Amino acid sequence: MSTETKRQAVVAEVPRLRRYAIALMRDRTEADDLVHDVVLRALDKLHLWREGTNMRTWLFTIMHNLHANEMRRRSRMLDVVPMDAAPPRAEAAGQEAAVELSELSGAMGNLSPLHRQVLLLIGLEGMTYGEAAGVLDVPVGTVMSRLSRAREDLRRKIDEGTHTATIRRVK
Amino acid sequence: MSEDRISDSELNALVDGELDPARQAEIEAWLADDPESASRVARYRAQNAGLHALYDDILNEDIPPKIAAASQNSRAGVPPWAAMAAAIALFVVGAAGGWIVRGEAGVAPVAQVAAAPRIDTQELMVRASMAHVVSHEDELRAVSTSGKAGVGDYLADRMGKPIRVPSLESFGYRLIGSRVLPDTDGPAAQFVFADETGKKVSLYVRGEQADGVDITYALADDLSMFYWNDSDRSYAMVTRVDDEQGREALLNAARMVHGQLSR
Repeated sequence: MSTETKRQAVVAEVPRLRRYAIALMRDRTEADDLVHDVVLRALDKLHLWREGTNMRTWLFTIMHNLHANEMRRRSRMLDVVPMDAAPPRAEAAGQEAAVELSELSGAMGNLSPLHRQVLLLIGLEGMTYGEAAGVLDVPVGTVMSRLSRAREDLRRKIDEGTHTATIRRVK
Repeated sequence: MSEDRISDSELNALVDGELDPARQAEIEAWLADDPESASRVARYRAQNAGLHALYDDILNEDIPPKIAAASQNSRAGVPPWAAMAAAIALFVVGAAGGWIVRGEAGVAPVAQVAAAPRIDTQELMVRASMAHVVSHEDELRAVSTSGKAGVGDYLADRMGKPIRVPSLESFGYRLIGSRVLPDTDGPAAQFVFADETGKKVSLYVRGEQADGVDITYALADDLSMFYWNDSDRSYAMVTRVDDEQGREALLNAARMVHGQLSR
């Protein structure tokens, strides 16, 4: 495969990289900065990509590493503010689908980044457990337990968001 | 967890299609007698569908110009001019796409003109790259005869606004000359530096009023640049870089010049 063909293969993944980055970081400017850095890094390291392996998971791995570095750098520089509080909601009858999506979006924002990552890689990107484990550099078992907790946590947060008055029984 | 309940991991694996077909059929049959598990599977599937509903539109968006520019890096032997032409074409396509989207949303085109302009990265990249490539010493106004202040005055006269002359001496780069070049909104200035081996770094300064941009990296084939802007000018430091170290050095040089010019 020529370098130009590989470059085109990288460019073809940009929309998916952006979708994941925006969903993960919840800030378009930051997400686009990250994708920009991923593209630069990938093109710089194109010779390291092995033909016949999955370009997408390779790019997601680069993105995960850059993002993790950036988060580490920031956590050293800034006080981390916990995001426990659910965002204020507006009751809107007759728009159930839209309300559910905003509930989901709010609940996603309140998930831990580790849970968000695994949920997005598998639930949105459609990666296999093995692929997600490769991207996150953790064992498959860790992916599975994280995913299971993430889904339950998301379910709980959506329910809490929808029925704030209801006290949920925690098992 | 009781034995007749389906395990968490198998419920998840069912949702994610990670079970082998025989086991999948078995679990699906069990779900008929386990409403709680069945409801969880439905909820998880709804979560996935919701994520797609929330985020799939992003797949159809135009690639932001900055990322498009970064992706123009190619070591496949494409001449820089071809890469630049491709970058310009990409930008034009992106802009056209933006119009269509905004048109559909019912926003009057006038609103676009009134919005705070973004720095025109493509224009800056192309002009700074071309100026860098054709910056032979004999075309530049030598610094040695007129001194730094002289060059500053000369440029200030022609650009209509004072401009500081940056220094990269601490990086081992000597200012070998500068010149005024025509640009879309009046004259632009170029400063060219060289180290003792003759390796060149140039700074391109053009008049442009746009939203502030931090020092940002861009590539046009084998030319690397860091660009940024202030209230009425945009700047690009350009050089030929072939490794990460070189890029780091260019970034540090850009930071230094940025600091000098914004004082």
